[in-house]
Amino acid sequence: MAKKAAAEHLVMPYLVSIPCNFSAGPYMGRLLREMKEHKKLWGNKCPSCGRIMFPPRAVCGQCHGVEAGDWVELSDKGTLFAFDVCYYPYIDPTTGQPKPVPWARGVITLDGGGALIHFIEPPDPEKLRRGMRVQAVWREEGRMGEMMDILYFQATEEDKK
Amino acid sequence: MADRVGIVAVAQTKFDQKREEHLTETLVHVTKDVMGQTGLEFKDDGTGIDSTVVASQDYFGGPGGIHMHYAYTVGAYRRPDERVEEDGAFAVAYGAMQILSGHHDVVLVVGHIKESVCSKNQVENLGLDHIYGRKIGLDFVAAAGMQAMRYQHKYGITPEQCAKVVVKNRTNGKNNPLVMYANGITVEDVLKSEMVADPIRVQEAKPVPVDGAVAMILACEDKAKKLTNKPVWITGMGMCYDHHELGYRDLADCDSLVSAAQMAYKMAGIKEPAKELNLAEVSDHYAYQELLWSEGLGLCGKGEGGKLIDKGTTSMGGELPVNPSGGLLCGVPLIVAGMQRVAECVLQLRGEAGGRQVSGAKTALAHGVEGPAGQLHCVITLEK
Ligand SMILES: [Zn+2]
Repeated sequence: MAKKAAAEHLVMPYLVSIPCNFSAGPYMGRLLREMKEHKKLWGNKCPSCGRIMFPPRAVCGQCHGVEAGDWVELSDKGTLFAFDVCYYPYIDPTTGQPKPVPWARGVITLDGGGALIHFIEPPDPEKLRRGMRVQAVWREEGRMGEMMDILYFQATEEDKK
Repeated sequence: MADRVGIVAVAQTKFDQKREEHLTETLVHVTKDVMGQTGLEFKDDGTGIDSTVVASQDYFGGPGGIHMHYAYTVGAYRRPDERVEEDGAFAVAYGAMQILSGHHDVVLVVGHIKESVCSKNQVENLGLDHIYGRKIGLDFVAAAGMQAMRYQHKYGITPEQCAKVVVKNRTNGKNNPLVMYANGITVEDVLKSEMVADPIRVQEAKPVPVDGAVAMILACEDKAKKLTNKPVWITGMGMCYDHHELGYRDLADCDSLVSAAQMAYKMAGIKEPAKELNLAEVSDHYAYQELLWSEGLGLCGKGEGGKLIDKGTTSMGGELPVNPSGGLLCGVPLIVAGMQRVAECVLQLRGEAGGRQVSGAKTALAHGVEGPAGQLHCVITLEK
């Protein structure tokens, strides 16, 4: 039986792109400015349940709309709470360029309260462990006021020992 | 099934440009207002707000993801939370359906948008089919231009009649402290203003960008009566979609609005809307639309929208005032648009509309629209 030639697909490249701006407002705005200008992390405290909110917010969601209270300077050191190492090809959304595999990200519980998610270096499953002590490595030049002003978290000197 | 759905509280922000606020601050303001009026909070034991429905548009979150901040901000963390990516009037209808179905008793409905975040035209272009519509740069303004042209041609509607809508609504808006674009514009000023999409001139289009939010609380009949001594009842609801592609429709008619209106009137038992309604808040994204939508709503006959404005029927003091609030032409954001029509009707029926009050108003109609050239419509009738 003669084979039918497969139909050639029509291909139409199409890129969706809309310039936009974004208002950070007083809460996110203060955090991002502190990161850019002073390499510091700030959160705020719920006056009702007392938890430290990072990222800082206008209200505590868990206390159903209680307005945020005092600002608290947070540590850039913490404990690796959860992590994963990934091996699939990954396009960095900020550059459009492929990022070398493997790479690791983790949830870091900051000393004194608050938690964030960031890259963990090196992405070596032999060396990473839950509970390890980690600290932020900041971008020295050209900070923009964004989370990538921290390049990644890595093991603290004390943890390496 | 519940008997009736009552709207027990409404709140609106000022409609301006909120460049200093993250959307959460806008939401905190408007939802605390509406919750404060009723003393209600979100509860999971049936003693508070059971659920929420929010209308917004993802692209207006800046780099996207507008809905992720909603639940924790309004206090709906770990509560039923539904999102609507179309005009806010639909969110009101979906909220009411949650109650009519017996699923929930009390529902918070919110609409919010910051048009100042990005280009409305570019977002609307993405609302069109990427094969047939987007590459010719079609957006809702261009689609409205074609519709206005076709409407004027088919029924002999004049540019002056469309301009009169702007004059009426911008005058009405002077009594609405929440809008920024009310003024004493004349027909001449409108017709001399810059052409945007022939025959639509810049003064005949809803001002852009405008930011803002509306919130309201809906409740089943027995709870509504306990929560306020001035409940406003939803008597009818209708929604209908037309073809997305403009080539499938005669743009001079709005058949999907006719269907939506008939659905709402049937539910409400309204036989002669022009006589039975005391006022209407209609989504006038463009001036001609108030005339065309009035026809679709049966407030006048087909092709008679021009006569309606000429006779003064829809002016304040006329038999059926349309847009006493000043409408969208005074500057209300998209998405919020239809929900704000409902909120204004509620204020009217509660007798709390201040200088824009239609005296003795007992019944009202709110209308929301979305999509190119009025593709989909939502009609809600209300009574006190
Ligand atoms: Zn709390």
